[in-house]
Amino acid sequence: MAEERKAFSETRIYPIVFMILVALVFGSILALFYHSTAERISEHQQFRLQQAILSVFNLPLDEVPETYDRYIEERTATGVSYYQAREDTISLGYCFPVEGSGLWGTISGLLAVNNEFDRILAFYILDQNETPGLGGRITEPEFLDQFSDKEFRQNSEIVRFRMVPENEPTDRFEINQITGATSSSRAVVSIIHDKLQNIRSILELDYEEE
Amino acid sequence: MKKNEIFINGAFSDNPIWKQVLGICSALAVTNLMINSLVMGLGVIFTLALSSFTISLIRDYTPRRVRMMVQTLIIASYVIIVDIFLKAIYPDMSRALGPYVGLIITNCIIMGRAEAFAQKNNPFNSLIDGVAAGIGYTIVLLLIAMIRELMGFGSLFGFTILGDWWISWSIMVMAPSAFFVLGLLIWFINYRYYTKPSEEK
Repeated sequence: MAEERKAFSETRIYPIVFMILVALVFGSILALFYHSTAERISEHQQFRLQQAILSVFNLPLDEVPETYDRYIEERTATGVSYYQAREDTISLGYCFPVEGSGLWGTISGLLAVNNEFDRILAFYILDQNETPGLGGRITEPEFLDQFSDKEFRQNSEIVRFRMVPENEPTDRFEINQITGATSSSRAVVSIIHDKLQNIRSILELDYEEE
Repeated sequence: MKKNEIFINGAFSDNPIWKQVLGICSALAVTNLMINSLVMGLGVIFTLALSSFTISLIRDYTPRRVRMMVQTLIIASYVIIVDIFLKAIYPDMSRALGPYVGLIITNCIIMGRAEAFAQKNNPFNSLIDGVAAGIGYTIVLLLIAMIRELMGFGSLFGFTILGDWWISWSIMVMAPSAFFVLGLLIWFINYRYYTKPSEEK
């Protein structure tokens, strides 16, 4: 028996059998582990998204799933899914997922606009890979709050926000950029501008259908 | 070799970063905040200890020709476990570390210890060696992060230490500072502990 086994471990097939066995064992351990946590992970992601959507509409955040179910309606138009907030039958506005490239990687977030489509309600960043401490400051309220309740239309034109240096007073269509992070600040403004153009076509189409 | 000797060797005399100069990429990448460094260090200690242990456990059955494949497979499995664990239990931390956790797989320290130690020693000693090398790595990361976070943000573990008078050094937050802080640290330790002063001869 011992001789036979030794012989087998020296055959050419042994490394292959061994490798397959090891892969099977570790593969199944990982599959089990993944399976047992998958639900939890997707719950976290779901919760975070719902929380973010409520926050752009300035809705209370203490009971996220309940409030979300009560106020938010998920809709789709031309393949784009977006969210509408309603209090009873009165619409509070629309929220769209946004994505675009920043300096280092993709910046993704949520952009909420009012019913008349002339003001941004709020902009929220879900994910970004900008330089921590510099471009990373785009997630700080000092920068993001500038977009809250911000006008963006002049007649029928969507205006691109102009950048002014940090700590300088801003005009109607101006945004304070972050010192040392000009590219990241510009990226955010471009992403918002592009999305607004896109939202206009989506909302127009959707309302023609109704 | 005695157990405490293995530990001292792994963590200090043969420290993976200042002596072996391994695992530099992650030492540069995650050290702008103390908390990121700590979690990265814990992830590496966990992966390093368990992969060394497992590799040592099956070392007598592993054919030489495929041993590196086996090592990589085992290391990758543990890293994925760490990644999933963070995603499930500490989602905020997982987001902060982003792609770095996955990159533990390519941390040369782990493969280095597997080849240099676990392949030749019993599982328990390999476990100690893994923990020791992981701790050695974490200490260096925390040292660099301490300098960078303090000078770049004026804080430690997110708590403000230096007051408003401190003007943060933006460069300390970015990658280049990690290069020179790490370089200075390695130079200092080598000069202080590894160079024998010629005057004493």
